[in-house]
Amino acid sequence: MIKFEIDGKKIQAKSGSTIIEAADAAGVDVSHIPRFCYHSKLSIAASCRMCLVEVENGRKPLPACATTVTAGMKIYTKSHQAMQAQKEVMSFLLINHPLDCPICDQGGECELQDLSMGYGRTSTSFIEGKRSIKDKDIGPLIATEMTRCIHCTRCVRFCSEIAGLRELGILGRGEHSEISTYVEHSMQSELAGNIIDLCPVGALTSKPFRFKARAWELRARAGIAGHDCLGSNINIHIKRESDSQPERIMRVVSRTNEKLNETWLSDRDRFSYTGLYHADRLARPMIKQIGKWQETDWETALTVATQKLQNVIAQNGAQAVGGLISPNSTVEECYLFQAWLRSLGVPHIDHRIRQSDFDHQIQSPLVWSTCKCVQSLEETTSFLLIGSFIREEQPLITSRIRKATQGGARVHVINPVDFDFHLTLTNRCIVSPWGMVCSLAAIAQVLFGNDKKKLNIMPKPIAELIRQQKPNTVEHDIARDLQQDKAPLILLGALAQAHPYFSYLRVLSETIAIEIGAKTLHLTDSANEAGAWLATALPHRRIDGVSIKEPGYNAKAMLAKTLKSYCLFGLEPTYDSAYPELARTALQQAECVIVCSAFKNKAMLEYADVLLPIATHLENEGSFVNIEGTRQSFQRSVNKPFAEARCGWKVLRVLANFMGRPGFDYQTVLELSSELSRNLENDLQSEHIPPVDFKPLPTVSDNTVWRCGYWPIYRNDSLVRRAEPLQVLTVEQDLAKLRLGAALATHLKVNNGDRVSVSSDHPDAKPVTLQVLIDQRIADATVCLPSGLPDIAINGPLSVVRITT
Amino acid sequence: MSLSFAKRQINSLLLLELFRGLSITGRVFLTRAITIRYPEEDTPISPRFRGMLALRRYANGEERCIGCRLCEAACPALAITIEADVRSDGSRRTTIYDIDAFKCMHCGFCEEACPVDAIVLTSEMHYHMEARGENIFTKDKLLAIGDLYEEKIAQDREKDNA
Amino acid sequence: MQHNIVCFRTRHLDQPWSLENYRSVGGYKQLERILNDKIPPEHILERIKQSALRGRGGAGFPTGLKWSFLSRGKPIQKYLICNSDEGEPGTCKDHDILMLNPHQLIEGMIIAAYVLGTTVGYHYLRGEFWHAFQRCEQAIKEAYQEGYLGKNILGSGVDFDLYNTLGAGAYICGEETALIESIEGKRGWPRFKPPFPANYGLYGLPTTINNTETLASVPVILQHGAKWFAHLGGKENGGSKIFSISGHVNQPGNYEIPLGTPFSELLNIAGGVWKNARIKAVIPGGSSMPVLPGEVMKRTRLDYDSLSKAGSMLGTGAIIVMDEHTCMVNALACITEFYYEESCGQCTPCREGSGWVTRLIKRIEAGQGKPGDLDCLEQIAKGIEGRTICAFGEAIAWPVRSFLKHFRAEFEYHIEHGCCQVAARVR
Repeated sequence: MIKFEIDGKKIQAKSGSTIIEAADAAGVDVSHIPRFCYHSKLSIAASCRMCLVEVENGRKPLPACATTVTAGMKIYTKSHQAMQAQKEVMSFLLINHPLDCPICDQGGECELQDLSMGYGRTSTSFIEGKRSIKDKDIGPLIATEMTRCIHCTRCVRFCSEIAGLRELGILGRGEHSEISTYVEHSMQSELAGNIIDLCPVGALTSKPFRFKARAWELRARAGIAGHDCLGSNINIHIKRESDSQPERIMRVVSRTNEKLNETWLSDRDRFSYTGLYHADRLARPMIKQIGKWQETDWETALTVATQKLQNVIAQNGAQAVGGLISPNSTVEECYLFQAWLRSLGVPHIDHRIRQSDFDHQIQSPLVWSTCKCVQSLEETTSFLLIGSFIREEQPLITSRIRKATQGGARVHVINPVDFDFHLTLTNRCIVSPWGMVCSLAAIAQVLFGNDKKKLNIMPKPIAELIRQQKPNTVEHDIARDLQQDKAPLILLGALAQAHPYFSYLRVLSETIAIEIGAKTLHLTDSANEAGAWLATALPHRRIDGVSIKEPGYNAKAMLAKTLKSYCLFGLEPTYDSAYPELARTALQQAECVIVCSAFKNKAMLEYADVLLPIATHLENEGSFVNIEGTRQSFQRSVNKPFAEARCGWKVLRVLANFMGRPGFDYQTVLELSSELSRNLENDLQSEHIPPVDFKPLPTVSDNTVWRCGYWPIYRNDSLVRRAEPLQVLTVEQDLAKLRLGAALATHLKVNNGDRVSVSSDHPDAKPVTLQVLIDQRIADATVCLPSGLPDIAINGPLSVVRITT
Repeated sequence: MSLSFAKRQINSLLLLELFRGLSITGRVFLTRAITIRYPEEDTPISPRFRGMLALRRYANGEERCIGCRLCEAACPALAITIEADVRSDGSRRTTIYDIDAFKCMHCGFCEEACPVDAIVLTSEMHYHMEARGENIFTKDKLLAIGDLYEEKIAQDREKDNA
Repeated sequence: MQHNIVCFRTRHLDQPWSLENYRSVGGYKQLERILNDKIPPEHILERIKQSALRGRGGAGFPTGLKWSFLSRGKPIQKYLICNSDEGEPGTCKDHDILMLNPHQLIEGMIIAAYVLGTTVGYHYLRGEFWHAFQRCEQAIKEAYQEGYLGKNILGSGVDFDLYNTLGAGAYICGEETALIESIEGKRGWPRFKPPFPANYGLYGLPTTINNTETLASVPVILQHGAKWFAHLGGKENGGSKIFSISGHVNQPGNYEIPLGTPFSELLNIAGGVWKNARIKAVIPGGSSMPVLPGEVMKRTRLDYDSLSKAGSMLGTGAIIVMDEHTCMVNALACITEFYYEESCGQCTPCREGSGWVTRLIKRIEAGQGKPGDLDCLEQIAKGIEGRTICAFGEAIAWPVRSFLKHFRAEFEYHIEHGCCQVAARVR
């Protein structure tokens, strides 16, 4: 610690910190130093010169952002010299800046406007012509007014340092310099929206929000982002009800949480709100009467739902009912959902809609990844990433890993497609889905393949798989690096989770982790997977953590076994399920389908009988458990959700009430939360579970073709799919193509642009005709066809497919 | 005490107060009448008179209002409701500009707040409504009033500025 | 007085740039002597310090001192950079060194590298020096062939590789940290100092940057001795200097003369003022330095300290002479326009201020000045000076302030009458 003085106040700071850091740490009441180019999360530019301060015995004023404090330093931020410098810099900034704040979208929340109140002059001697610069079109998310730019370069530094994509730069020099993309194009980064927050002036503003409201009209409510497993903290900005409009969510901005999202927010979390008032939004409860849909009130809808469900149970027993809940639902909703269905005797409850392999589920831990590792990601020096398009799945976790790689960390990847992560990869195994399992087994062989003892205690098929492998140099390299590193991290992504041999991947990665002292982390692509596990929205486990002897059907079996009735919560199975084909058939044949959803779609109107509108996560209350196991509660941001929609927990509670189930008398979500917390606090001791048999190794022939069906970033859930600005970025025609490598194309004798039909490897499967696109990034014996696209329903995101030319 | 009492008695006996009052009546009787025949005749009003509200246009017909919402924020009676959006030419414009004439108290803060002299209070005070809902002055109505009174408004501003 | 004895010592020869001609005046002898006799670097550094050699690139920082900042002992890669990004208007001395005597620069760089313990050097030329670049490329090729460059130079075990780098035409890349950025392939934006290049330079490693003339002087200092060199000029102003005299003189050009020579003497060498006109003003060190009235200049000696005393600086030694027919408003407008165009745009005061100053002066020149403009101009110049990352801010501010200081009446005439005083008088 160093002692020094700011404006006569004695202050201590860490050695090596800059004046501005020290002043900020000491608090605003000590001294607020004005600044534009400085940002605590970005490198120092020292170019705006707004933070010039006087340092005793200094020849000239020094920039507080770039000058490190020394012991005994005397700093004056409000002295004549400092103020003179700051005021003159302000007058320079304002000469070319348009002074039409009323028309500017940043007006009211503009750093330049704020500081000009303190440092600006009331009159000007500048009568020369002002510079003006043509606006750039950088995509559907960010509006530009480049004449307003003050060249602080925060956006440029953000793009190269945090987003990992040098999309913005400066063209020209001196007064003619302008921020631009080099060749005019849309910004592709999934973190681009952050430059809106970073821009201190109105040069970069939000396009969907443009001119719609003013900062002073909005009220901010804290919320939690619900599109990835990080649980980014957000502020939801709401405009009050007026004569002409109901209360509306106008935008979402980030809320600082150093442990999770720092000050950033991914575009998916920032702009998903634009889907809130989509035409598909369910405004009122709906019931199907003799094949016709009609809007009704809650009372009627709930009565109809109760009757229909009770009829099915009375005729076929509770065994004929299945309950599927979205892993994006809150913990409270998951808890109530399973409690309600279990009280009816329904055994089939699941949230794992994107999983294909449920073997070994009984031995999975009570709680997935609970290591507090998000902050420590930056210090990790070796990563093994298995089956993940992490940049699209977890944009902010990727930025942490990127920071780690900038400090020299190594990232090894095992993926079916050579996805672009915008970070430096050390080793990559680009192999078919089955090849992923083999590669991991090969790494295991390098690490302990000679140790017979270790292999003998492993499940037989896995030990056999490890023995079979002939590791190549890349696998050797990965194994060596993981072995040498102090604390490597193994990350399993959404593709691993959707893998038909997920149990293999999981056991192998855990064995490797134990062998080398690594941690494993499951990066789920939903907001509350961990919470859904805790709340046991699962067929095989009760809320007290005890396994159920005869578990109900899992998500896949439920659809495959065609039950009489389904209860869906927050889901669009035809988009969200790993088995869209199965889902459609199963739901359409069912007698009674009760759907609690915020949105409707065409298929839903065909299969459902009752539609109950619920709140989206931006309007909801409850809590999410993130990847670290941190439970973050959030309150309702709006007075009431859209139109007649209700918070999900209320709908579930009332459904239980209508069906006469006792014990569902919660008045507030807090009562529910505390009951749940009490349940979770009980000793969740893992019971002894006897080893389970693994399914045998598959026979993989040379002609087997696998599909890699990742969920594209903006097709991930109902809300995002309806966010128009984000959909503009997702070019559906490009996604709905069958991508394959040159080798496979030669083997199949197809060329770019040829049309082929693809179907899942099942005799009854309906083929889909698609255009071929040859893409070198795809592994051998693999085709890439994303999931979650309309009209492309192929079962199994990583399963074997048949291709006929 | 007794002296003032005596004074008062003398004053009232001599009817001095009566004559003093009558002298004022007499003076006013001889001066020119200041009453007018309203509504046939108008009182002269200040160019700063705050009457009916109007939205102005530029000479080329373009509406002045840029939808900055400063008037909405300034209005102490919450009489103004604005919705703004991007117009097809990319400029910031209002889609809804409603003033509730029942709430408006003609304080003129909106005119003070307006950076482009769009919302103004005209010198017109003779207006009425016949049906429910007419108290809401919509954007079209306000612009129409502005068009109708533009000449007078411009004259008043000029006088005020001089 | 001795002319052309240091950097231009081959100038009298036919094809002065050739290796043989350079050898004929004792070229590469010093290098061979140092490597053969294994003279410790500390001895050479001491000699350089004794010679009172100061940086010839503008700032005049003592070279020996600068070299001593690079800690020789540290076992990390270090770099030596020669700055031939000669962009200062009026300056053309480095170009002539490169064209006429490239081998002397190379020898100087090898010796400097030996003293500093660096094994890689970069020679940064401004983008417009295509011919000079070709000649330096040829010279480096020859030096490699002769074994003066590369691994194990002359069997001594010393390594030094030298690369020519061509800029892309930005004045600011003459600033040492912008030059480093430019070599790294980035935008030529000066870095904030500290850290100075001696600690954090090229690719983040310790780096020493010297001007072409400085490095080219080194072999001669070692040949004739530090004392000889120091005695050429005055105290703390060792050696001779190339002066690029331009403007209203009869024979503009590069003259290498000892430091401390009176300006009047140099003016005589350059053939006196053009058309025997009276001398009005002189910028003694390149256009970024403060202007001095002709009368003051005539009394001044050309060395670092005398010019400082007179209120200007020696700078790069580019002397711009203006006769009585020069409109000072126009002259200043030309200078500020140059800096307006060349500002890199990084810091606010320089980026915005350069445009403001230029537009204001042009308005005055066009006869549309207003009372108060000159105070405003003074204010802007003060606002830029000392508030920027690099010295470019001063390069805009100093000419403005000095022109206003010495020739304010002429500016006032422009504002008052809307036309030029000089033009009016001539008419």
